[in-house]
Amino acid sequence: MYLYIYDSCLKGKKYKNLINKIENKIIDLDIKGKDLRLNLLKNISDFIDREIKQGAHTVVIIGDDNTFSQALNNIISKDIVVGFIPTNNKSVFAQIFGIPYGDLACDVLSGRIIKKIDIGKINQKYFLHSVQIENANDVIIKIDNFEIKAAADNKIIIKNFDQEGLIGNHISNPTDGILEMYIEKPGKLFTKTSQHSLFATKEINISSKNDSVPLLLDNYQKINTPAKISVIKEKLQMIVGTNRQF
Amino acid sequence: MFKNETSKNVKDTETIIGESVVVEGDFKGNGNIIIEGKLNGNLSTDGHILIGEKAEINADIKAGSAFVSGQVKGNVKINNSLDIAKTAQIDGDIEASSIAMEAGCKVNGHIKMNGSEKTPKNKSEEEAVAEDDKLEL
Repeated sequence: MYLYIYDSCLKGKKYKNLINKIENKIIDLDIKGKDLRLNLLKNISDFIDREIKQGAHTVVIIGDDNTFSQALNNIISKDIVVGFIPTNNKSVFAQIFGIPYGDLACDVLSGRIIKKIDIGKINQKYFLHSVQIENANDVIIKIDNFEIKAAADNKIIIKNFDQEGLIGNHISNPTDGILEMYIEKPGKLFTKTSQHSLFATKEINISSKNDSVPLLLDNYQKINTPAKISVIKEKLQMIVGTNRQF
Repeated sequence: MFKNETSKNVKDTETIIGESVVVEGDFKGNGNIIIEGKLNGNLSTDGHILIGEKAEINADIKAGSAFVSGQVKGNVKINNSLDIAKTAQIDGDIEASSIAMEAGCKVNGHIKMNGSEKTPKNKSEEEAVAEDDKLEL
């Protein structure tokens, strides 16, 4: 049985046709299931647990990348397969997973190509794509037995995966058990390799000399330093398309 | 040989230490490393190390191979080939299977190759380079 988690914003008229198409396709492909709106976030975890006991095997998130990231923290600890139906054609996750926009994503769901994907962990939270620090001022980064200090105006990006390498086409692969940390000098977006830094690692500790520094998870959620960032290899069972980028 | 080295193998590089970054401690890697910034401590990898013109290294270095065009204060031990560009300054002993030195580089220390040992007579100018602009030892 499938569980469909809808972003609360999809109630609007703007999405009515799109949602109708998706739901008709779900019926056509005989992959029907139970529906849940994401504004009931507090109950999602318990809801999924109950449904797993009753035979649910797949959670499908319907929305954009933020919806996916938001739901991730509630489903990552469950032994369940995850699907994604992107409701806009700018979804970075969808491109990487090879999932087309709207009702066409249902074909990928029914195809059930399942790949195990690495997940990033930061303190007690999870992220799929990246962690960003806008300003490296006061930030201390520790990896293994060394410490990294970046110039005050530098931006720090830690990636679990990305379809485009930030430096020299270096790609962050979501199945390699490695995080890539980029330190970027603002204003010169990766035009000159010597201005930027790259560290590949499994664990990063970030602290700050004085006040806490905010870290942005998957472009939607903020937490503050200190932060222990690691990667859990092949933690997420994800339904992907044949056009996936890994 | 020396001119194009800075952009070589970026795709296969595991670590890049950029100009705006300072690394302190024991840095151990398995892959290729590019250093354009500062590093204090120890540096080792089985792969290739590229030390750029603006790099400042205060560390003992061990690597599979290396290209040096910046400043190094510390001993350099390379399993295979070591290329030293004209902009490089190494204050420390160097050891490698093969060493290529471009005219103008500065090496202040002992040089050891395959068990043989040489001390540069003039440490700031490799005058022995006569015709082809570099010294192949």
